Amino acid sequence: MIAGAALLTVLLVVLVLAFVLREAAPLVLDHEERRGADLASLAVPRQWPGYERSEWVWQPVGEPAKFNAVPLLVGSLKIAGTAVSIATPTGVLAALALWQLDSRRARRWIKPLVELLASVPSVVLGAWALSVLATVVQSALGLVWRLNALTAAIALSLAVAPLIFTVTDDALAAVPRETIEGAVALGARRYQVALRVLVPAALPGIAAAATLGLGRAIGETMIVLMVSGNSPVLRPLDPTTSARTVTATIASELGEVVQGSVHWRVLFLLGALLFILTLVLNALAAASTRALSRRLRGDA
Amino acid sequence: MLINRRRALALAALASCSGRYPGGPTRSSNASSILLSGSDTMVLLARRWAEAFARETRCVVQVSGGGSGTGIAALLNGTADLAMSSRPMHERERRALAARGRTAREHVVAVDAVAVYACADARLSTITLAQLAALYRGQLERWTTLDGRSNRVVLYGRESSSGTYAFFKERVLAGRDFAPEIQSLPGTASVIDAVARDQTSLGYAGLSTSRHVRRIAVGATLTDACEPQSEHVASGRYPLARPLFLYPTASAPERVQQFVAWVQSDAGQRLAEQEGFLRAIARSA
Repeated sequence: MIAGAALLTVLLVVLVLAFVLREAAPLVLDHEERRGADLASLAVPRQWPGYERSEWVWQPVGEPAKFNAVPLLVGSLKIAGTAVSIATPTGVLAALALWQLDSRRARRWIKPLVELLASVPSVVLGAWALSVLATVVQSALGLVWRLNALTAAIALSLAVAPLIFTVTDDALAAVPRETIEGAVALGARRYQVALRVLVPAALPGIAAAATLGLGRAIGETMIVLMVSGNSPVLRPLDPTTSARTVTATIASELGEVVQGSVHWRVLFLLGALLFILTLVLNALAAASTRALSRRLRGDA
Repeated sequence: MLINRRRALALAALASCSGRYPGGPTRSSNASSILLSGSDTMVLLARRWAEAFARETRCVVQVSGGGSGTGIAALLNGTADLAMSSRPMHERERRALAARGRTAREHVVAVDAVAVYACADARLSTITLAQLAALYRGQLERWTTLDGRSNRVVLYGRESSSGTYAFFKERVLAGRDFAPEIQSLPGTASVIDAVARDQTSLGYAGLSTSRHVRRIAVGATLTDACEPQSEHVASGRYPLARPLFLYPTASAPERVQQFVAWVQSDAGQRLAEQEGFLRAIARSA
């Protein structure tokens, strides 16, 4: 029964991937299609008519249509990277604080409450960030753009931090009691145990948490669509500008695109790319978790 | 908000013009139906008209998109009874029609307008088309020449899937690209909301009566500039508006004339307003 359900899930994942790849494939395989958007111009800057120099341009409606995915990938990574670098310290510190508290009663309340934050629908988080957070962040930091990558990343970190918290908490719980008691017996204080024993021992688990968080952040759509301003600018190092992510692009453009057109296929190619990226991140997280259990068993 | 009814209908319209939908544009011998084809901007509105008209008269209007040119070509070939177009018929098309011994009657049935907004207490009240083009092309970045402030202008617009985006790109930018910094938002209401909250911003979107924003007067020159009010739109003075037409042939059957008359009636014009267009015919008292 359980094996059947697991098999069905795997089958569904494979089918989804197959569908996405099938829609994108003609772009790579079909000679006719390739003339519509040669693969190189998806990644390499070009000097388009009317432009002064070679540029990476995403402008899918117009003559000629320009499908350069680099600004979108930069946007996705910029927002997801910022979100994870906010959410990782937050989530890990929260897990450590809970451990430090060392109260079974508190744990019974606090952990489900934090996990509840993860189940807030992202459209609700997005609406809140759009009307409240964006104004606060803009006036606090004196930003030019009210809707920007940083605000989107802060909102996104609220969705990602609970995930990082939970996975980190599980990793900390997996550290054997004897290791901790040994440190205490040697006279270490509780915070010293946390920082010098617990965190190093659970490090692969924390890495797994951050990696899973990154996957979740890259795949998130609604928050970034509402809050990031969606402009395909190429400023990888400046989180205060607006950014357009791959997910938001697919969400807002796919609805009006002619089926089977070059634009349609490019959007599916981007979808396939996201899918593969998330698979890789999940595999990395799984590898870290295995490393954690090996280390805690003392094999490493 | 994102995949709303409008969009779902547009998808259906696309499906119908790619021929996968059984009710596509084929010449039907059914005497009680009307074939209407043309502008994609008008497809949704035309469907609303068709639904309401069918409820009243039991006469079916089959609507298909494909663009204004497609609709007029269908009228020429006799595969449509009625063409809808977001531009006036070209002289060349009129001649082609005349060569087939027919003439088309022109009816303005609604007006499509794009407005430029700033926040409610903005000092700016007028802008020229050239300034708008320079802003949205990224050649003009600061408020200095507009109202003397040195802030950067934050620009909002619509997503590339929107008809408003295509119209603005064609009419203001003459088909050239938007600068990458332009922020695109998923609906007229989102643009209004964003502009209302940001004193350094401008945005373009469909018409709205929101009090939180100020409509900027637009013109080829500052002295020509006017706001998108019905009288300026109707007189053609407001530059970011276009009349939408229906073209029946002069010899079209009675039911086609009835449909056009119904569209121009108060009920038809009210539907146009509900779909975000302006009335072509003033409200009858």
